[in-house]
Amino acid sequence: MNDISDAEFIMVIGSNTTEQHPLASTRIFEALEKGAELYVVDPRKIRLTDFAHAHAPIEPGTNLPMINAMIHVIIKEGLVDEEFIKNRTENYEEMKKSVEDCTPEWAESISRVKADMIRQFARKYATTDKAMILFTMGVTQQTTGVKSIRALANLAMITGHVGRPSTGINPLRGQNNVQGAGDMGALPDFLPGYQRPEWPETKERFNKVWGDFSCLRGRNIIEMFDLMEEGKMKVAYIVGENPVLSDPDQIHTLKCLEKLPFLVVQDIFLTETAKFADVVLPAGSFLEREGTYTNTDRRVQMIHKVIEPLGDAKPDWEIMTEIMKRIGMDVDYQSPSDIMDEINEATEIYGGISHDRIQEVGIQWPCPDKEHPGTPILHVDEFKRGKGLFTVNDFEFIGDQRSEEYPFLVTTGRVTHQYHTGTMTRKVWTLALEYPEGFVEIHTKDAEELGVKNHQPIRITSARGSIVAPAMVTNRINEKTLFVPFHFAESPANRLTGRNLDPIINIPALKVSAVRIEVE
Amino acid sequence: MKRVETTCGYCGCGCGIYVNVADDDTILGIAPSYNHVVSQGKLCSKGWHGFAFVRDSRRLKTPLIRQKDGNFREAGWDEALDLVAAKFKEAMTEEDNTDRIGLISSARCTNEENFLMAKMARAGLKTSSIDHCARL
Repeated sequence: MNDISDAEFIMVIGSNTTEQHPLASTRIFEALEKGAELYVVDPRKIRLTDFAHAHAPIEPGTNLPMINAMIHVIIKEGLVDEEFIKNRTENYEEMKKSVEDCTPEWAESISRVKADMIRQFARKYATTDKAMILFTMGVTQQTTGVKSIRALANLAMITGHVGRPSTGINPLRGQNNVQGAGDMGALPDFLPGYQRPEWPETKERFNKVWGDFSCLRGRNIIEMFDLMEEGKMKVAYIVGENPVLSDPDQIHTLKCLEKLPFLVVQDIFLTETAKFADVVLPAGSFLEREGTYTNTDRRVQMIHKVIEPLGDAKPDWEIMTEIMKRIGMDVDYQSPSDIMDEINEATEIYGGISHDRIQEVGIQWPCPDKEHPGTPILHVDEFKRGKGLFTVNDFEFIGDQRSEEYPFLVTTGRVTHQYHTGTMTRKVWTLALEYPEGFVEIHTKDAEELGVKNHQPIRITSARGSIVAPAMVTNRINEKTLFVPFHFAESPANRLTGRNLDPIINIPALKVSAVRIEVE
Repeated sequence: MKRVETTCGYCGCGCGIYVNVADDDTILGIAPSYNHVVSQGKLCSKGWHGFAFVRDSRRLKTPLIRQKDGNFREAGWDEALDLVAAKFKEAMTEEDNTDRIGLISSARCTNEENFLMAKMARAGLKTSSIDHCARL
């Protein structure tokens, strides 16, 4: 994160940084003070645009054409880093061919960003030495999410903006330990340390640490809910998640949970999801346990027990250990530090990270052994796979688009003072005061056309469901586009969103849903 | 009063905080950690204020079990955990249980806890269906 403040050019795409990652945005401001230029790609005039040198008011769901057009311009104008391409990458010619027709004019016809602006973005990015890209779910939560990330990787590689300080494509992670949850193998297609189930060495390694285990590509969240609907799933155990508010197509989610024979929910509050449980287990909050979180920089940091858990609540790891014993597993962890010792054995990337080493300052993985200092920048001399692979990422429309029946696109997100499904922040009165209820951002022109006044409740309806929330009339959003925060159970944005999935990793297109408006 | 240094529990920035606690475990407030490598003495509104939920009266304080009439009743740990384990065992087959048992872990949990969830799923319940909210 310190790298951000030394950048000379920052492109923020699909990230409302000042509101979602306030501390990361302070680094952007530091860079601006030092003379950096800031370019923003977003369908809303987010706060960062007030400080930006350029803002591309893009159509939701159309980042890919714009990125491909930037690559097209950079190649056409000879701004590529030929040395980097020759020494560190492969498949360049194939990729080059694929963007031949991706002219800025073509991209403008889809993304509605002016062709000249796309050229300006491309030239500035390619010709600045320390140019970095920051992104979040505004890129990933669409049907072309994975392709867009791969296209960003193409963009960074043709210009050699990888593996040096203040460059690269940098995801800002939305939850305190979303990085760590992936690192630790809470994923259907990886074991801890991003080891693929199908690799023979994975089986060997984990047989030693865990004994016999299920080594398949499992079902992801979306597929698990489908299995509930089909009646195949018998038991689900949900820890610290609230899919009723956070997953797409709420009405479908509720139907699935009702059909599931046995649901266990472990949380700190009786969440919207816990209300469907057969057993609810009370967990300790982040101030009531020991352990480690891994931040967006891959930095593994300690959390300490500050107070005792409330009532009979227990830290999650204690509850999990108890369940493991009762299903017949031979485990005996006295503290989270014991678990970390096992993580050292099971993974390469956390191989040398112990609680003792990170009491003062966290360590950034990969850290393979006890002497290793950690790794601030990835891909310095070579990529993980050796050479960087250029990919072909053709754009196609999948999922919701505007239509006569649903003439608006709605995109979702968070606001500064709230967090995710609001389970915690809505119970903090100082924060709740700032945004007591949900709202719908609508452009002034659209509001006038429909006769909608500021704060007037409006109903928005998609093919999945419908919600009512007060209108927030503003010029800070594209025309024919709406924004709804997803924190609020009374006007749940995810009743509107659908299960249009990215075909590669099944991320749902939460940022793009077609809707109509009715004035209440 | 004591002052404990820890890591903020909201977004992925991972800011350093000090929590000031009275002797009776009342949280008095949060202050930024001045030398912290990420936050360098700064915090956002959630960092400063976002702790009050920890002592909210709506916190779950005991395990709950759903009764036949549809309502929850309070239960002890042994009873609740035995029930969970029994239901897991009932759902398990001789073969792999990937389509029968699903675990959803959490980006709010620690690394150690997520590791346990992965282990419980794959090594204990013999299911590869384990995921968390990264997609959402």
